[in-house]
Amino acid sequence: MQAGDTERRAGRLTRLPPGRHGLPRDFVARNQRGRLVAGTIAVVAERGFRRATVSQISAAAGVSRRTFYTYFSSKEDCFLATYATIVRHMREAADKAAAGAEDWPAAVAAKLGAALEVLAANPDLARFCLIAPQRAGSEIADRHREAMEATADYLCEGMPPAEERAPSGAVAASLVGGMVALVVRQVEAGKGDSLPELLPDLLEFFLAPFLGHERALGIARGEDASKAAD
Amino acid sequence: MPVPVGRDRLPREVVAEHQRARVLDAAPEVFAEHGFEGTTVDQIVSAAGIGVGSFYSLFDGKLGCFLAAYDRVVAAGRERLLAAPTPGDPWPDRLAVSLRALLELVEEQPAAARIALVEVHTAGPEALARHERNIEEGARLLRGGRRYSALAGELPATLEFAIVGGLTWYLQQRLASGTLTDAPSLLPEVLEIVAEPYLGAAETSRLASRYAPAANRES
Repeated sequence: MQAGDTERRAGRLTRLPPGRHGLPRDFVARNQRGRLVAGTIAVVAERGFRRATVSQISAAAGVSRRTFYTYFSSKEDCFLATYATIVRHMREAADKAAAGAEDWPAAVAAKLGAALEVLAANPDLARFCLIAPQRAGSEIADRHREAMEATADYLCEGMPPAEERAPSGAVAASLVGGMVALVVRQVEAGKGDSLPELLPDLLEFFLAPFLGHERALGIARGEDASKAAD
Repeated sequence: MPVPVGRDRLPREVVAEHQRARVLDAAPEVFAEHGFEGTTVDQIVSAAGIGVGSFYSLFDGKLGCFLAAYDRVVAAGRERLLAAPTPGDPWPDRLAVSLRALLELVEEQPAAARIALVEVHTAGPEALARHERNIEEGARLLRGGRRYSALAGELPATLEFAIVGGLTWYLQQRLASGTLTDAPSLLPEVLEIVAEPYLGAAETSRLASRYAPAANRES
């Protein structure tokens, strides 16, 4: 039955261990707003933004509609807030993973790896962040575009100047778009839980315009090899 | 379905094909203006000049119409891209000519470009599945570039899909944000995205100079 199914999916978020996988457990379980965020992700991932209703989101979160409206002024407001929460969560996970990285390529690898881990832990996150926004209407789609642009800048943080070429804004946009296309393809194929396997390819693809394919391949293979050695 | 009666009655199939063409000619503008969700069948039939009953005998609702319009736009684009280059020219030149043709098409037919790049993401899972298949096809066409890279088979298998997916994202976001004016002028950037992984920066730059709109070309 639909509602139970979605509650189970929202509930899955509360059962995840804290840290790099999904939203922190205590954040979700104790916090009504957190449960609404989890419910929003589950309902929107399943039904899309337009068909999701406040009632469904509230039910998935185990709260009343009145409670929903104490936190959010509208479905769109809720969606935007949820989206911002996920972006913040993923950035924190990426920052944490990249802290102490020995150089810029290692930081990129750590950030991408962390993002893939978060998305792999709950495929609804990928559907919510990467697929649903484009169908949701102009302000949400705009916010998504901004977040995608910001991702390229974020990954480039700490890049040393000097000999590395700086690709154009067009290439930077296409790098994020291309990586997302690969992630979406994998999620749509039902293989969301093995997203981390994409890391070497994503890393090579992103680094190549900056470092050249040969160096990018070497770094990506190093990433591959170190995983295999674990 | 009403069919003209009388001595000059056309075969039913001919009428249907004619009506279908009128809808598919008109639909991109309607979908581009109102978005997939915001478009109504009334708007489409009004623009096409056919009756609602005829519409439903030709298409499986709004979605069926969108998918048919989308498929037609993509097929026309594919044909133009593949026909543009001179057969036997080197791969880099054929690539540049095809990409230039793509950008010219985007410029000439903004509604069609909107359908193929923006609205396809708003029309549900079947549309998205077709979009993905088209990216796969574009990726297959691109693989010939590996001959030009010293790394060839060592490059990740997903590279072409990522390049084509990335290009479509780049065009999509520019279209959606209203900043895609003078599409043919983007050839250098597009070549940077698509050709540079195989040819390197210097060769790609030369290619861009050779085929950029302002360059002198033999007519």
